[in-house]
Amino acid sequence: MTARIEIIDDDPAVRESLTLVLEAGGHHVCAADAGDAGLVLARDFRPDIILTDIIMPGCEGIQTILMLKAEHPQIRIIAMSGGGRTGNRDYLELAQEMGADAALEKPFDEDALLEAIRAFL
Amino acid sequence: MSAEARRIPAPEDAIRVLLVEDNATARILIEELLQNCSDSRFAITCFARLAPALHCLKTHAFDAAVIDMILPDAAGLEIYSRIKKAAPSLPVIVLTGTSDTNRFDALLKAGAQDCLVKLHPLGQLLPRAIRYAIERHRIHAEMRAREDHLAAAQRLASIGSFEIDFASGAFTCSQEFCKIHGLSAEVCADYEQLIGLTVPAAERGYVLDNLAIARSGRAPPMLEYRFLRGDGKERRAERQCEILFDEDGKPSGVLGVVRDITILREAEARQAEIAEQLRHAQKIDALGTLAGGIAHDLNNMLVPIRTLAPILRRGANRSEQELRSIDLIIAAAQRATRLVRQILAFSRKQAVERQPMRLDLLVRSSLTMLRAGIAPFARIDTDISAVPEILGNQGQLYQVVLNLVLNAAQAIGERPGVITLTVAPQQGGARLAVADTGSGMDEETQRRIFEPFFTTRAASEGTGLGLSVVKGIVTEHEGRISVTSRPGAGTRFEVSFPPLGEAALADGQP
Repeated sequence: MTARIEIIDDDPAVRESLTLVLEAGGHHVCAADAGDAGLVLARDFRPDIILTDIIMPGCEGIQTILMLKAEHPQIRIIAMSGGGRTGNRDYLELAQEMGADAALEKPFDEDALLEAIRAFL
Repeated sequence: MSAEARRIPAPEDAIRVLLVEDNATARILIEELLQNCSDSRFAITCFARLAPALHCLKTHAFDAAVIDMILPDAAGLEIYSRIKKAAPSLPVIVLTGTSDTNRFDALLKAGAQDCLVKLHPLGQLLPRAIRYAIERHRIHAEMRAREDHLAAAQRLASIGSFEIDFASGAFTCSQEFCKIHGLSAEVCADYEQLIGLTVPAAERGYVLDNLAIARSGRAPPMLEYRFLRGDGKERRAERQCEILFDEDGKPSGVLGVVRDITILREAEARQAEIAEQLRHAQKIDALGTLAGGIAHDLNNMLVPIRTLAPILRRGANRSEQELRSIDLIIAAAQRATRLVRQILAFSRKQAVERQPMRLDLLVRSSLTMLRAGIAPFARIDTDISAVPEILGNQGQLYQVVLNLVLNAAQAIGERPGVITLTVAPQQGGARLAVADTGSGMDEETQRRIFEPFFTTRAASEGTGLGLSVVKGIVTEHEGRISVTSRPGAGTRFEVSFPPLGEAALADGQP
């Protein structure tokens, strides 16, 4: 089963490699480099699943998740983060509390990524 | 006033003299002698016996007393002692019939101001003796007051003083000096002996050398040294000395003050320790922030390697050499991942201590408590195999087992059901499974169960934090947790933990 997947990440290497992996898995993929661009993209692209980074310049991930969920409640959101905390709270935990449906801790491997996508198909 | 007393009226500025003399002739002689005195005026109150004189002292003030040594109701030193007892601050002049030097010495030692022989022509002598006695007495009282003042000031400041005379070697010290050293005045009578007794051998020379400097005429620097107090406790002292010079300007002695600064130094040490801890915490905090930033970027960089290398490896017609190369790339990326986790773990302040432990032993030893903690409807079955050691925190992993079992028991509710606990080896690590025959969950619920505060139960039955805590602990242990369930077909949670070596690396341990 394939899905329409949107990637939001400010790191081009991450965007491109995730695109390659997901396209190799047969999915239809589009990517944005920032939260606000991702919001605009979601309106046209109509993804089933959005993979979004948490720590990004400008419109950061937690805010992006809140806005995406408000606008498209049906889209499944997977938060990704390469670590970092506010106080004693993990960003990924926070993202899930704010509406992300799953979380992936970077760096994940191909299997973990595809498994996370499969969970929502 | 008693009938025996005879008071001669006098102006108010007169010196008030109490005269106790049983010999009438002598009494009249003395009275006349004092009243005829040209440079002082006296107001004299006379008694022939001691008892009424003592009684009078209770109610009347006198400037001096002149007493005979033999009275009808008392004699000798006893008369003097009883007068002194009745009026301790009254200067006393004793009259005797004979010139007995020994007796004079005894009286003067006891505190009498003067001893005069009655038969000698008293002439100008007695009035002068009375005036001098009063003046001497006043000076003594003033000196005592100053000494008391100094002692009190030393006590308040916890400063002891001492003086050494170079020529005689005489050493004198204040009460507070003795108190600081916790020793009696007798023990403190010789300074070098005192230093030998109280200062540790290693510091003795340096303490005495400091005094030798004063002997040579140079101002000795302030000195800090350790000493043993009389009660055996080690204390720290500070000593400051000043050279005393004789009339020729040569150093004649030294005046020093000693202060016990133990408490001060201890407070300073504590303060320094706290400051050091704060600096250390700030350093760790800064390192943590830095490490967090670096880890974030490195994790991003590792994403392409870890996601794309497996795709490359699957490519058609890969040679052995190419496969080996890609495996090396994957292994290196995995090692880098662990290293970054290690850096992140270091930056997390509240890292829980973990040590090698066996999950099967933990579950076995928890069974009794688990069974006691759940409703009797649920039976606990076990399938526990010996598993390799993992790196874990006993308390936290017990909480994982407990929360999963409580969750299972609540899914079973008030119907008969079975909870199966399985512990088995998995990929060099260990796996724990908790399965129940309870109500099961739909997909929506399954997705949300690890969220904090998510619960399907009534508010009174749980906080909804149990499974999010489980998830947090498992993640901290580099483990994974998954759930499989269907409504009406029970639920199975699986928790797996990595092999000891991998977790150890991630935790920053060898």
